[in-house]
Parts: sequence; structure tokens; C-alpha cells
Amino acid sequence: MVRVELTGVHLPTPPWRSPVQLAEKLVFERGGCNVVLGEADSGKTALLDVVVGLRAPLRGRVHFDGCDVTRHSPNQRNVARVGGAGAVYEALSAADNLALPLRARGLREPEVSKRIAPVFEALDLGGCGERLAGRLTLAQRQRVALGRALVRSEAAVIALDAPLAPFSAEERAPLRATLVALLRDVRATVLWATAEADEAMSLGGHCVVLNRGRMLQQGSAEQLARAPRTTALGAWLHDPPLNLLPCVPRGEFALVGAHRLRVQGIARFTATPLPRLELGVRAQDLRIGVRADERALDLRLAAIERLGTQRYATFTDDHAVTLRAGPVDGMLAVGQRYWIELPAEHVRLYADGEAVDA
Amino acid sequence: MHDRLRRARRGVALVLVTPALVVVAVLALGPLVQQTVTLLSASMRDGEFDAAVWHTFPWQVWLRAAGLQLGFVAAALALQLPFGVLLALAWPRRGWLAWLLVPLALLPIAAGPAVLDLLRLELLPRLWQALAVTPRFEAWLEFLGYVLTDTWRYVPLVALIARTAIPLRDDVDAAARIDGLGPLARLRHVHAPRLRRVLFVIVVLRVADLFAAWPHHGPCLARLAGGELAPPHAALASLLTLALLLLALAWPLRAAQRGGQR
Repeated sequence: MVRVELTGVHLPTPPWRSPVQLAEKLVFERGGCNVVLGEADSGKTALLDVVVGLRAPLRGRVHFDGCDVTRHSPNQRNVARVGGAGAVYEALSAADNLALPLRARGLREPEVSKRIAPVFEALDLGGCGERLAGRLTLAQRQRVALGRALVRSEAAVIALDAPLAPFSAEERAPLRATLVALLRDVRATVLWATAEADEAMSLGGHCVVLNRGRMLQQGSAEQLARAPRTTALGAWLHDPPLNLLPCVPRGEFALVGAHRLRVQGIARFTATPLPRLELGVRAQDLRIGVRADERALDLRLAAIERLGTQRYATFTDDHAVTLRAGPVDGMLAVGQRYWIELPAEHVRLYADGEAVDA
Repeated sequence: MHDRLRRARRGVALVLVTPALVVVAVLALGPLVQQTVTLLSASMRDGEFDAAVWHTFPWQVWLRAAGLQLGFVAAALALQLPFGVLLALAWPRRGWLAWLLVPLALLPIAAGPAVLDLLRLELLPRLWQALAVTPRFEAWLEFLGYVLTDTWRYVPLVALIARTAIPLRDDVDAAARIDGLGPLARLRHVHAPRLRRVLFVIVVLRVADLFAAWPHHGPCLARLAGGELAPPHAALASLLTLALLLLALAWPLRAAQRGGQR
């Protein structure tokens, strides 16, 4: 396993888009699961390609444990990578697919067999060992591709680019658990790229959020969830989406519709034209039914709806404010008024969609 | 549903191929009946259609033509396929250069005869004259000349067709590079399997064309020939075309059968 450090890297971009700096410095620490999160076309694949050496950065350097590997080939970097398209050697059997990278590194057959047997079993590939990989289904191919990376226990970095994309929703959760368990056994630094926010949240570890080739935010999954850098990220990361309350500054207070809330950091917005100011707070952080004070809103319960296995309540003042809170139990009555507290430590101020540091 | 589709495909294949098979079989069986090579040809003479003419040739002529023809086809393909595949692999995947190379690849085919005539009739005689030498062309040199000029004309086309089998974003090749496979291993495990089918198509196209390229304007099946006929080559073309057609027919049927068994 290695410490991966990208300094001043500009990711390769399509010709019609001007290159941007990913980050001044981006570090993936040794071992553990690093999640690269971003929507389509955000630069996840390009970042993984740059780390494993398939593509060179337009600018900047890539270091493995302090050693500059920017010009090293993937083979020299000793990395493994899995894409989301089930890339296999179609003319070889599934077993030979797993064995080939080991044979290419000069391992003897007993060692090869010893390494691929547990991976084969864990990935549920027992039935298709001797079948040609070209005749497997897309999901089976992806399992083979994953196996080919996982047998490389000596790899310094394992990059997984949307590894669960070809699988159905039912297959994903158990396979994700299997992969996480298998990856814990290898000593590599893992980079897991995904466009699924809930997948990133469930993987935990260090998360890096990308947007159009630029690092938007990094931190633990919990940090990202609690304090998203932009309103768009908040809407994307959370289910239900981040509550956003348009507001107007009045000294240390924010006017939210007819309500007045004390908000840290809002006092600086005095000069016109004012940016678009919003208060962001997660549904899970709202407290229902607490006493009235400067951080609470008096709202009517409009509806209770089910999201997955949990129920969330929608509160409104029938004008400018709508808040979703929960999960809630069955003790609330629709149509009743409740005090909803916005705890200071969980409310974040956004100006033109960007978080404002208090 | 799957079986019905398979039967329908087989039916379409048979309808398309059977007439050609019958014609070629008649031509191919001719030598067995008459102890000579027989060719049914149709020609234009003085602007009039001259119906069908039966040509007969002794076996010796047939054998010599067969040797030359097969040697020519084998030599040309031995050069064109590897160079074509290498060129296809080196072909840019994206960008303006990828598109610019398409007309450039077709240019030698279009301009080939004119360039060759210019070389043969104008430039080379002047060169010999300037050098004050009288070149003597042996048969093997002429053979080599045909092979090389044909290779020059058609390698870009072979590359263009082979290129269609290589995806724009080649995940498998990327995986092979990461797995530590060298160029030869990548050619064997990544490119050869995916190029197999398209190479078969290229071989069929090129073999059919190569029979017309050497040494005269050799006719194939009942072709309207304005120039001098090379009947032995045409007869051989018929035989080989028959074999290729049978192979082409057997392939999808076998694949369909395999698909049904799975």
C-alpha cells in the first residue's frame, strides 16, 4: 500500500472544455477505502486513470510514497483497476482471466491456484470457472473483472471505477459487503469511484467529491453529510434532500418568511447587491416540538410521507417556508402546529449556493 | 422464440447463398466431367452482349495458374493482414486526425491505377533511359511487384475495416496494460479474439478481389469482362469462392446451434 499524493494536477479533459486544477494537493492515505464521488462527467474516471497511469495529467505530479510516478507506466506503478463495463479477456476461461495477471508477473501455478481459489469462492464464480469469459453475462463478467483485481494482493493501489454499476439493485448490497470484506484483506490503497451518493455514504472512509474536474470537498462521509459545501451537493447527498430556506439578513438575524432566526455569520452581508442567501439543514437534524426561542419556527404539519422504511414529516407556514423533518414516529397529527428547532451547530448559511464559513 | 429466429436466419442465409452455390458448383464440377478446366463466361464483344462461352483448358495450364494465383493471394494476405492490423491498432481513437485518415486510407485505392500507370509508362522508362540501362524483368520480380503494389493500395483499407472492431474506449486493452501484459500478449489475448470475425470478412473480400488483380483482369462468376480473360484463374476463383461461401454459411449456422444449446 502507498500514500498517493496529487500535486497541482489538471485532469485530462475533452478538447472543448478548458482544463481546471483538481486541487492544490489531494492525498489518499495508505490503506483504507477512499471514495471518489461525483456525478457523470465529473472527472472520476479521469482521476483514477491518472492515478493508475493510464492517462497522464495535463499538469501536475503524481507521487506514490513520495516517489514521482507521473511518467511511470501502470505496470511500473503496480496497480490494479476495474471499470464498470465488465472488461474481460473473452477468449480465456473465467479462471484463466484471474490467473493471467499473476502469470504475467511470473508467479508459479501452485501460488496462482492458491490465490484465485478464495476470490473465486467469495465472488460466487464457482459455476463458471471453465466457461469462456466472452460467454458470461455482464454481471458475471464484472465479477471476473473484480476477481482479477482482487487476486493482486501485492498491488499498491486498487482503483474501482463504478464497480457495482452492472449489477441489479438486489445484487449490489451483498456484493458491496463482500467487496469491502475482500478489500480489507488486501494491503492496497483502495480508490472507489461512484456516482451513487448512498453507496459512498455506506462505504464510509475518506470521501472526495468531484465536480467538473475540480475537487469540491473532501472529508469523512459523516462530515460531507453534515456540512455539504454547496446546496447542490446537499440536495444530491441526502435523502430527503437538504432543507433550504431562502432568507434575508437583518443584523445577526435571518428573516425566513415571517420568522426571525439568529444565524451565525449572516451579519457580514450588509452591502447590496446581496447574494442569494439560504439556510441549509438536514431533515435528520431538526428537532420537533421544542419550546419557542430564536432558533425555532412555528409551523403546521402538512403531511407525513414514507421514504424507504422511514417516515418523514413536511412542515409549512403556508407561505415561504417548507421543511422536511424526520424520521418521525406516529405521534404527530397532520394539521397541528409544532415548534421546529434548527440547532445552531447544524444550520449552515449558503450564499449563491456556496457554503459561508462562520 | 429463439428457435424460430434461428430457423428464420438459417432460411435467409440459404436463400441468399444457394443460387451462388449452384452456379459455383456447376463451374467447379466442370473439370471433373470434361477432364479440363471449364469456365462459363459472358463477355461484351464490339459493344454487343456475347452470351455465354465455354472455355476449356488442359490441366497443366490450370495447375500453373493455380500455383501462381494461390502464391499471389497468400503473399499479399501475409503482408496485408499483419500490416493492416498494426495500422488499425495505431489508428487514433478520437479527434480530427482519426477522421482525416479515412479519406487518406481510401486514396491509394482510387488513385492506385493512375499512379501505377504513371510509374510504369512515364517515370520508370525515363529513369531507365537516363541511367542508360535496359531492365530485364524476371517473372518473380513481376510477381513481387504485383504483391507490393497491391499491399500499398489495400493495407489502409484493411486497417480501416479492422479498426471497426476496436472500441473507442478500450477497457480491455487498458485492463491488460494494468495486468502487466506485454504487446504480444495483448495482441493474443485482447485484439486477436475481437479481430477474428472482421479478419474473416477482410479475407473473403480480399481473396475475391485478388483473383481479379493477378495477372490480368481475371473474371469471376459470369462477370462481364471487357479485357482479356484469364479463365484458369476464374475457375480457381470459383472453387475457392465456393469453399469460402460454404465456410461463411457454416459459421453462422454453427454459432446459432451453439447459441441454442446454451
